[in-house]
Amino acid sequence: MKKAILISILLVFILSTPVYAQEQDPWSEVFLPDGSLNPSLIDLGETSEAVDWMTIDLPFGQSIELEANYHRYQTESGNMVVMPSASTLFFMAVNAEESGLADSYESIGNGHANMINVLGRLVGDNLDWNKVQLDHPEYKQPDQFWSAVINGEQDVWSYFSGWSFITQLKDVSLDDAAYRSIYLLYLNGTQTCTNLPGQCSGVVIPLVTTHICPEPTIAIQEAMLVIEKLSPAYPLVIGQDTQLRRGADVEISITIPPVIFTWYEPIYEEREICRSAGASESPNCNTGSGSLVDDGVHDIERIFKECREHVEHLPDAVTSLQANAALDAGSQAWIIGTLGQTHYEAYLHHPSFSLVPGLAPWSGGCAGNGTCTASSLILRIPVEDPGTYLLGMDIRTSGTQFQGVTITYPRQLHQDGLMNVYVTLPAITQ
Amino acid sequence: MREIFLSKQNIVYSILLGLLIAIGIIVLQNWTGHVEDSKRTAVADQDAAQQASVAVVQFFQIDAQQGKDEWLHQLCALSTKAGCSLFTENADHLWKNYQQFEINTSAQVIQTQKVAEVDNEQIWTINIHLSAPLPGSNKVDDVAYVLMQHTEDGWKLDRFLFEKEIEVIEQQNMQKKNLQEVGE
Repeated sequence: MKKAILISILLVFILSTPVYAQEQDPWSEVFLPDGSLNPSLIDLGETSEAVDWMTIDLPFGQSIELEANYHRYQTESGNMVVMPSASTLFFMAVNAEESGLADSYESIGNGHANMINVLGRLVGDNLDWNKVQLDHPEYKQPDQFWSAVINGEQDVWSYFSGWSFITQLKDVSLDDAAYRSIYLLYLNGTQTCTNLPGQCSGVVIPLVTTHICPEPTIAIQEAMLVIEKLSPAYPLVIGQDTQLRRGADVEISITIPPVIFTWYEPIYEEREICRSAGASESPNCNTGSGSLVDDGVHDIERIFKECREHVEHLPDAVTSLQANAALDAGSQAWIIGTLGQTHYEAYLHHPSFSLVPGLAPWSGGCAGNGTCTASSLILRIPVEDPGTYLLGMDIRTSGTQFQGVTITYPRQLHQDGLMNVYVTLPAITQ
Repeated sequence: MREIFLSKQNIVYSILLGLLIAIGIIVLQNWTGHVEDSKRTAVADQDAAQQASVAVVQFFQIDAQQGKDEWLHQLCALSTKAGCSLFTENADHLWKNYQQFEINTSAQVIQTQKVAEVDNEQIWTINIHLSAPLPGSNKVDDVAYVLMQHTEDGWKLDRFLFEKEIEVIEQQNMQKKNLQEVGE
């Protein structure tokens, strides 16, 4: 009990929030000299959030909340690196203040040059450059205009010459190499994570040294998330599956390795000494400083001996899991359009549905070694419409704690998968 | 050979007459083309207005018992591919409320007006009347700003406009109106 209290006091001291000096170029801890990402970055994964600045207000007080999506990393010193999806980047740029873009340090390289370049590509010819020049002759190049937009000095909405490109932005994949160069840096982002894009999801609380022992370290290993069709190889729609009533099986598995928290406990040796007596103390020993009578008092001195390493495997348990399947827009269009032309009254029966908890529950737990797992097996899903289904899974974790002290915030993780469902169509042969 | 005498005055009249005939032919040709263009534009606008009305009615015609899937199915048939994706991926929040409050409304279009267009895109305002209010509002009459896109399958609903887009369009139309008034 006494030891636990001591450890807690020590941890509170160790975990007190520091203010980091940014003497070097902060990008130097994000990228190695060869341009690759520094392996010491903590990969916080992808996170999504509904934000006001991406909301479409509808009549009658309704709204459609589009989700902002980011991939985030945390640096050793507590800075945060945020990589927004293409559509998120667009909305961040045109809402620089509200989105927090204005608070970012700058893009890698020449200011926001990369971001301006990408924005130019995303918007393309939909920026009415003639109108911009007419109203603002001070901008000689589109780059100057975009720079003013990002800095919150220029409104852009008056200068679009089309509208549908905004709807199509969300189909630009985050994996598209062209858009991979946009990294936003938030200095000391871990301290102000509630105001960050993506907030505090999975953020590791920064640690400082005791100056006696090495500073504690936290290692987060990437979670393994899988959502996939298990069998059969070619699932058929329910109407053509009447004999076997096989449907499709989808498997979900999540493995979250433990957060490795390594901290060092200073170990002291005690020895008896004779120290100088205070004014109110009665001397009972000789300090050996040359006095012929007792001039000191007996006491115990703590002498630093070593740093004892403690490695904790902290479980980050799954606390919620939801999974859905939705027929993609191309398949929906095919059913209504192409199939509808040859098959009378072809229509969508059930294009989106909940897998978990809709069709099956999930279960999970953590092993003694700190590894947490969760899984669900959704068997014999009676799929009614043929085509490609987008499988999506959202999970939330508990975060990690040690001796009552939070080490990492809860994580929000997302994983996509695909499932093809087939239909056999009669062919007329001559 | 007989010599024809033309006075200077007659030569001027002849040239003027020729010019008048040429101008007349050009004006007539352009006017006919303009009328045909106007007719084509009017038909296209009529189609777009009709499709916009049907799509907006579908969007606000809510039957919580029938459910989101059926609603989406009908809405996607009236929407662009990107629009269908947008509605499909982001309708959960709307429908959670609709089902919680067991909403059952019908919608009626009162008025339509084209407020902007470029190439194959048009913005329409649709005045709608609902038979019953939706969750979180007491209104039964409101205006929707919708983006219609002309696809190979005709005019389709792409999305509703963002607030900032609406502000810009209203501002531009106000400026146009003011200019017209000054001109008159």
